[in-house]
Amino acid sequence: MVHYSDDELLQRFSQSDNPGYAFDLIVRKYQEQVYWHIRRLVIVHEDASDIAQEVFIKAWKALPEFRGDSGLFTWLYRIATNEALSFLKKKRKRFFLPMEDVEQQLSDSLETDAWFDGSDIEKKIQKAILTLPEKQRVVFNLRYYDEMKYEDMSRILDTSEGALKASYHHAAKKIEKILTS
Amino acid sequence: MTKNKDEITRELQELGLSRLASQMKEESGFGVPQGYFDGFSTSVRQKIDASRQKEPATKARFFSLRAAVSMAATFLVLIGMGISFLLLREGKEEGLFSDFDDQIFEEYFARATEYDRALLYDLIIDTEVDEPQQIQSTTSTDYDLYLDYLLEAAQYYGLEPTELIIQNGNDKRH
Repeated sequence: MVHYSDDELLQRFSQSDNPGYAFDLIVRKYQEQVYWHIRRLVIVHEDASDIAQEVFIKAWKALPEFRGDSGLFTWLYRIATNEALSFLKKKRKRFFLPMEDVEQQLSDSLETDAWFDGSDIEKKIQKAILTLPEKQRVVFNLRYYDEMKYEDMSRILDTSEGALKASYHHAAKKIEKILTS
Repeated sequence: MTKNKDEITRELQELGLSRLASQMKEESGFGVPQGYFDGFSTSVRQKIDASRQKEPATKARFFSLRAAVSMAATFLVLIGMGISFLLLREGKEEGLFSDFDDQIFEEYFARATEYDRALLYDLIIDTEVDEPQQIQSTTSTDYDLYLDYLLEAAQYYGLEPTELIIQNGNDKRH
């Protein structure tokens, strides 16, 4: 597949007679990153799949008004983060559960999920990540798994680089402590 | 996305977090069904197409729900006003509302009507739920009888519920 830059894709979307084709290219370019980001937050494949599709449907609807100030990649990650966190919030509200119980459910689903095949250490890391507060979890995942620069994270989460660095270090230390205990 | 694996590993090592640093090379353990990403963009496209086709139908259902809600609310208002009217009249005869003179009575009625109409508009605007099954299953005969009753009742009390119906869609009577 030909790899287009974000600017080229946006130009194709807004100027071509077939915006659907340009959008399809955008989906193909970002589908995996968006999916994995969501998956690490909601854990279950089916939930992640639904949310990831919803992210692109929202993007399709909003793309004609997208001005490109924040960059396509940042924008999609922002929608994905919001959708995933909003899913967890709804889950908590629907069952009147405290946050810890939702995290416990997610942690339990690692044991039963047919699409989780991690080693013991990988499972331990995932469970440790689930003990973190939601936003710290987002920060940790973006840095550790998505290998994202603080600069990019800052644009997605609208938080200063210093605060993100502190949050990531704090989260990493907590996880290391759980791993070595 | 920029790959910063070395930088991130170094950062963890500097923090003395060797377990996490060594694990950086590994995957997270999550998997997806085979070929999942091959069909992903098609699934998204199908959902977008489906939501596009669904839009007019949703509007049609929404209209009928709006009409039904407005009629139901009008009906309740009319019943309520009828009961109030009867109670006030009885009360007057029995001395229950002896301090009510005609002017106060008229004012009360005028205000109540205005308020109820505002309430109805709010109800209609705020309604964003799917049409309940029982409304969908209402037959056109039931609908006509119901509408006739409403129009008669409205005429009797000098109200115009038809205004509401006109504003919420093109009812067949208009």
